[in-house]
Amino acid sequence: MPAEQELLKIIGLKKYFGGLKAVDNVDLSVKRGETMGLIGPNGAGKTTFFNMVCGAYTPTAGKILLNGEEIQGLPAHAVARKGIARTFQITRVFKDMTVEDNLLAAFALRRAPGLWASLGRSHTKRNREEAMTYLERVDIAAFAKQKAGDLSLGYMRRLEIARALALEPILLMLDEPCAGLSKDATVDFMELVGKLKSLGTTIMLVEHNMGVATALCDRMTVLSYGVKIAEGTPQEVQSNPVVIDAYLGEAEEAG
Amino acid sequence: MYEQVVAINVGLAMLLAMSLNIITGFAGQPTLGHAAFYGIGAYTSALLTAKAGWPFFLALPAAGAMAALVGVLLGLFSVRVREDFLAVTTIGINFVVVAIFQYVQLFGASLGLAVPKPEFLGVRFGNTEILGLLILLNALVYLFMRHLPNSWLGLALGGVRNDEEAAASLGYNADHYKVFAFTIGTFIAGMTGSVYAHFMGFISSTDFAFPVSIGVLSMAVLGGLGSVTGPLIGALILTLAPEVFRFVSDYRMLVYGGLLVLMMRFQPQGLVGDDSYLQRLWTKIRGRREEGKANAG
Repeated sequence: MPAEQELLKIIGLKKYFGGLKAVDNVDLSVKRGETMGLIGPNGAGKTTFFNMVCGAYTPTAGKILLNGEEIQGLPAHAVARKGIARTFQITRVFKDMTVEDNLLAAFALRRAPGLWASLGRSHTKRNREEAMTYLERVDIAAFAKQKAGDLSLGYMRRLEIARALALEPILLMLDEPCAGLSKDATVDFMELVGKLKSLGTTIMLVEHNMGVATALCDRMTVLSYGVKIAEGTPQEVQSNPVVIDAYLGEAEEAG
Repeated sequence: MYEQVVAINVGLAMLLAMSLNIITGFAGQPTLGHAAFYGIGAYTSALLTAKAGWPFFLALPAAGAMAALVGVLLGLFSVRVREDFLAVTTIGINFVVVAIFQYVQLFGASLGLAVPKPEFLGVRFGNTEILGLLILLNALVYLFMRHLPNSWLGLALGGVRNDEEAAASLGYNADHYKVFAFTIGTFIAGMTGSVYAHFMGFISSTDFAFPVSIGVLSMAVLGGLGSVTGPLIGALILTLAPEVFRFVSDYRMLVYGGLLVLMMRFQPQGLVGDDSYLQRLWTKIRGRREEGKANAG
């Protein structure tokens, strides 16, 4: 694989919480335009891994390269400025603000970086029209004037994705985007991600649900107890006995 | 003139309530010691004019700058503490600042400080001129407040107020915006203190004690934290009430405290805040009027 195709390259990433090895020596790379799934049973270290890439956690060791530039250990806002946008497992929309304002808040990074520029007017016709195009892309334009906190969970997820897309990121990171969604909302959501994929968005997806991950991902990395146990296309991963063991083990424990 | 003095008190209260609203209403940082910055502005202006011979119109922005300087320090501190601890910290700051005014000779200690009446282009400032200046300052700050919800800063503060982690994911350095809100809010409070000092002609430490902070907070809460016009309405009501009703003047703290409890329980968004009873009523009336027009047309 030629190096220039690799948008994100992660080498030997570790996160220890005291004696607990939440993520241990994981390598991973994401190519431009692909959807990479990060899957594994509960407690496998997926979210810890995700949070290190987004800057929420500082890794104990290892490198995270975005376009060849080291970004490990940067604070979350700096990671966002490097072009990584994320959503949260438990949605974090700005509840007391309107849907439109939630979206406009994501434009500041491009339109008004810095404190002095922040004194400028944000609600210009141009910005509001552009905000509507993002809301239309996720089919929530009709709720533009509503309080974001009044939306249903599925629509909050959409708003969060629209907000992330409005950053015009080079990498979109989704943390269990289907958790808590109804079956219909999950199907809608998978359609939306399919649409984003067809537009060439590079996506990293953390997913617990094997079915959702198989349908959306070009490649998958499987974690179990903080260690990478498999990597490959969904077909390869699904037929890998080590992966089946890890998931079956979980089913047995749960049963 | 009595009416002028009342109007000046209203003008001062409005500036304080609006400045607190930037920090607590928009940025969501609870502060219970706003009077400290009002006092820092007043004492700065008093010393600069009385002891250093500065003209009032230089001392006025300098008073704002001095308050903002301390405000930045508090802002930097606020970045490190959770909201409830910040509230307690600001109470402490209020008491420390008042104690410094009360015990340090430079600040006149318990005797207080005499403040010269300002002069500008040969005109000695009486109450009429002070009132004019307050109207100008209120107009400027109000225009800023009106602009805030439609500005990038308003969106940034909204993000920080709602969810710092989500704001960071959009590229906002939450710490910078918090400190910025403290800077602007305390700057305005400092300038207001300067106007107060020169209006009164005499200041002492108790003018800026903790109950004054609670008074300002009550005004902002009554009108509506985070709303543009709310703090103005709250300041107007709570400044006029003691003038109109004798009992409010006698039991001022009881009224402030009672109002805070009642508002938090029944109308936390304030009288004219988002989705308050009054705002809903207003929308209804306007809707009916437009319906009427549509029917007529």
